[in-house]
Amino acid sequence: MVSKIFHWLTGYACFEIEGQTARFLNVAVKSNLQMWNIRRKNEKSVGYIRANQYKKLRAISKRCSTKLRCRYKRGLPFYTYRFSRRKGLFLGTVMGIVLYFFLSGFIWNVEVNGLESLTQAQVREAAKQIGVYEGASQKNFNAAAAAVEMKVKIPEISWVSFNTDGCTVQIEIKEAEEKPEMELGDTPSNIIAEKEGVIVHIEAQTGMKKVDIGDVVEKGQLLITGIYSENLSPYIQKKAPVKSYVLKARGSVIAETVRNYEVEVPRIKEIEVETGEKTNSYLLFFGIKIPLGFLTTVEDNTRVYEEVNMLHLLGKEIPIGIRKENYVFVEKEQKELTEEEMKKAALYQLRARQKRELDESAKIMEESFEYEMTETGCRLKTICRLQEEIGIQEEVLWNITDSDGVFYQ
Amino acid sequence: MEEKSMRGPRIELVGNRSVIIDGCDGIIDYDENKVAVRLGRITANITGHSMRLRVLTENTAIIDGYIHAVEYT
Repeated sequence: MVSKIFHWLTGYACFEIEGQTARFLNVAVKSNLQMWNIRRKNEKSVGYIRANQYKKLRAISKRCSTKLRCRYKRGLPFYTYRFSRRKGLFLGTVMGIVLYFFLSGFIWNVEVNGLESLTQAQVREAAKQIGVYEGASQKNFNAAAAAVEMKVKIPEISWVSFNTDGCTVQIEIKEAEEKPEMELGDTPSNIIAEKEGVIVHIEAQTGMKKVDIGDVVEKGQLLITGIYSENLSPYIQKKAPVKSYVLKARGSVIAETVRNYEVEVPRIKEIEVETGEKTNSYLLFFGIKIPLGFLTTVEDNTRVYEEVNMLHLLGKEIPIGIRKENYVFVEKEQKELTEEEMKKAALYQLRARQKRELDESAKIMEESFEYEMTETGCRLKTICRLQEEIGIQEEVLWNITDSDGVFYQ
Repeated sequence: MEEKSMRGPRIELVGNRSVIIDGCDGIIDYDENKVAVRLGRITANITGHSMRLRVLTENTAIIDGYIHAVEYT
């Protein structure tokens, strides 16, 4: 194997001899020519000789009256000779190989996986700040250090891992779950009514309920108490032991309530009107932003929209693309709303207010609307009948006295 | 008793597949079935089949193939 590699590196020729082969071989070896793999093929002999010694065989062949023919030439010298006549091709090949190895030292693709509530843009921006972005050098990239820095940048992340696959960096993320609100302490408390209403549902998880379905309750009325006593054996007629409870009352009390809303919208509304549009285009090339054409200066009262289109090769995104920044110029104008438009705006405002003030579990059973047109605008009055949670916690100041009459709180 | 030093050509047989000849003076005859090599005053005839000269230099020859016999004349 080694001899084969050596012969290929130095170059060799396969020759064919016809005639007095033995004499030819003797004269050749006496002339210090190295030959190998000489074998007989019918009337001819075939052998191999080093490329730079082949010329000497011609003279020997003439002397020995033999017919010499070169079958083929192989080896590195013959390849390099071809390239020496085409220096440009050879140079291009070398430069291509150098460029390939140079470019493979950069990050050309960043993939983010495992996102739930965080956005790609957030994670990519944080990764860019720690040095992980398209076009960054892989030389100084340390996956473990990057993971630590990423967790500092985005505290919502519970676990993060940076994996490299060639020129691609994959960021695997696991988001942290929100810590639930802890109820600290077991201070005795009752549940009272936040507003008046008619009870439609009551459930006491801890404590004793003091009202029932169908009862009308006032604001501040006790609904579920955390301090109560009960007979342990109510069926025994003799004086049964009584157990006292001092707890934090927990439960749900839903009542039917009535709410009044009043919203007002003005007749004159300020709107933005588009007066023109211009676009700035850029060529994105391996992280470099090259402007295409003359750039528009940005003024106040301008809306900016960005559009990025990256090229794809074999299903993978490559860091070459076009970025367009669309600038829409706007001016503020005053517009007088029609009656329909004012009613619509008033209703919209009412719904926004209801969304802010009501709990998610509240259900609107019935609503009545009253529109009133004034000189300045439109007034909407609404009476809503709804079912909502009315119970709120109220702490009880619990006094403890010992047998000596000392007071503890 | 002094031992006489063994000088002269050296023939080494590796099984029946290879013959290494050191100190040969040249090839007399060469064929697929027979190779005759001059070793000073004597001649070595190596017979067999599918034989080839793997290496041939001024003093050395290595013959590969299926060797049947080595005869001295």
